[in-house]
Amino acid sequence: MHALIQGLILGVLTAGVYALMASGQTLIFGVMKVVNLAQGAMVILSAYLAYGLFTSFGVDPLLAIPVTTVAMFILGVAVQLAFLRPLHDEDRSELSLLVTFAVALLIEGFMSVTWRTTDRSINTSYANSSWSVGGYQITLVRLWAFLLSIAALGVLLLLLNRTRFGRAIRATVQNPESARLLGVESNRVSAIGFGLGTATAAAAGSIYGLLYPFNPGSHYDLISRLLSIVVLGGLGSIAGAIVGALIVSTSSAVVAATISPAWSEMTFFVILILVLLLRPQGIFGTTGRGAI
Amino acid sequence: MDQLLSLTGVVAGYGAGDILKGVDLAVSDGTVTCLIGPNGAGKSTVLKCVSGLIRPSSGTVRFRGDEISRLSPRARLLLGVVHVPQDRSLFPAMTVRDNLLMGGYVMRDQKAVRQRMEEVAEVFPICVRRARDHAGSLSGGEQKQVELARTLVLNPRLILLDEPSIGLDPKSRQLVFSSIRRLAETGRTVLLVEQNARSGLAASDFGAVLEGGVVRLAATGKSLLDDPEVARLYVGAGSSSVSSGVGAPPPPATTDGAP
Repeated sequence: MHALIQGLILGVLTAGVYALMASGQTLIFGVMKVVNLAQGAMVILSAYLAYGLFTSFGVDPLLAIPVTTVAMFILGVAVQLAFLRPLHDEDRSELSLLVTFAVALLIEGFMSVTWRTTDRSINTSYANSSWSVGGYQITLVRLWAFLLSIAALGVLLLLLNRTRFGRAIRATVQNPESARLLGVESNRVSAIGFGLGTATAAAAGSIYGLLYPFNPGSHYDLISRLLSIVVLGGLGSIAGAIVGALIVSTSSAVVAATISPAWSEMTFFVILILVLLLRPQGIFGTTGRGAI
Repeated sequence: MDQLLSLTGVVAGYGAGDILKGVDLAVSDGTVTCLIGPNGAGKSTVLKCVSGLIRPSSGTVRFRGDEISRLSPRARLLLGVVHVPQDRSLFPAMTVRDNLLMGGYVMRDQKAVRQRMEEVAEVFPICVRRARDHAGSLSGGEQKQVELARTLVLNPRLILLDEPSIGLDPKSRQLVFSSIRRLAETGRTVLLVEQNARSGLAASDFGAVLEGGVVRLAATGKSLLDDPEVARLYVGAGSSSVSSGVGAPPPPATTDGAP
């Protein structure tokens, strides 16, 4: 029982960072109908940027988030303008898989050349600090990671729900032609929407770098997890991404704590297969255009 | 009456095929004009050419005398041309209030948008009554009311309505057509595409029959309703051809004057 509850605590705390990464992924899909296979690589690139700032200038990875967020936003907008905008509407969804995978490989190559292929980790002074609450261990890093992820998600949701531009993004997701007829410039919304999606990778990258060792190839593992989460939650739904992250992360942590860490990795994919069989559109997904 | 909109020799379509093959049409300021015709005649395409969703391959679209054929939908919106497409155009997962706010998206002054929303709500009380409800939870007739209200937030000169009565029950349909008349009474110009020709022409000052991508006939709404051939082909349950002669040869394709 103790192991089960400890696993649940770990799962919930980890879910925050996955929810953040998956929200960016699902936002991009909602606005552009593009599955961004480079999202994992962008998270790892952000982790490397945080690592670089930490080792070269001693900047705490959590304090580096504003810098990496701006950098990843610019990178996202550039990727959208250079590689995705030229694609025709009618085959954008299919071709974007190839294009974003190519971008992922490009980023992987850049990281391999710049930081080599050896595992890196960000070891802050508080990396091993933890609290004991009622006999359960809560590591400080994971708690910070969780709180920061929730804060970043909150900012994203406020932006989407309370601002003029956020309304334009939601309108584009729900009815692109109608949004265009009301003066929403779909190209601008797509570029900024893509930038916002990749900016979430920045915050997530700093946090990921604090939690796990990483190397340029880590994005393959990450993107498969992210895809599992967004498919489980329903492509295009941020609420779905949050719930999907909670389900996947807690079940994986509980399996690791109670059965074996070896089976934990499998849990993602077992859940994914079950969802695809029972509810292919995901928990919050719709068969038509949904709402983010 | 001044001419607000004119299309001259407009050729347009999707991909390889042309749907419009030289449309000539004129719409006078402060009037309601109804386009009728068989399915596939290009009625909705005419509206898309005016709002900028598609660009004509040749011909001109003039609004208040200025050529607008190459302008973006946003630029045309800023000139006062709004388009309500055929399919339900509200954002279903957004509240009625947010939908109305989107009606003023191109306006920078958000205070002015809110003021316009209050004015619009006086004409369409549903905007206040259901302000916090998701647009998707409204009935078809209610959604149409909110769509019309949303077009007014921008205080437009020309409103393009594509099949506003489609899928509505008779009571809601009546409400929509009386709302269209109300728009005209407040000085707006309406260009309407309507499959329900009788209701559409009855609510309109002028009408035009579009067939095969060209305007075959243009006259007042009343005279088109009284024309036995038009009545047989479009107002009743007739066939889908008008070429057999709604009076031959086809008269000049304009609606800017009397029949």
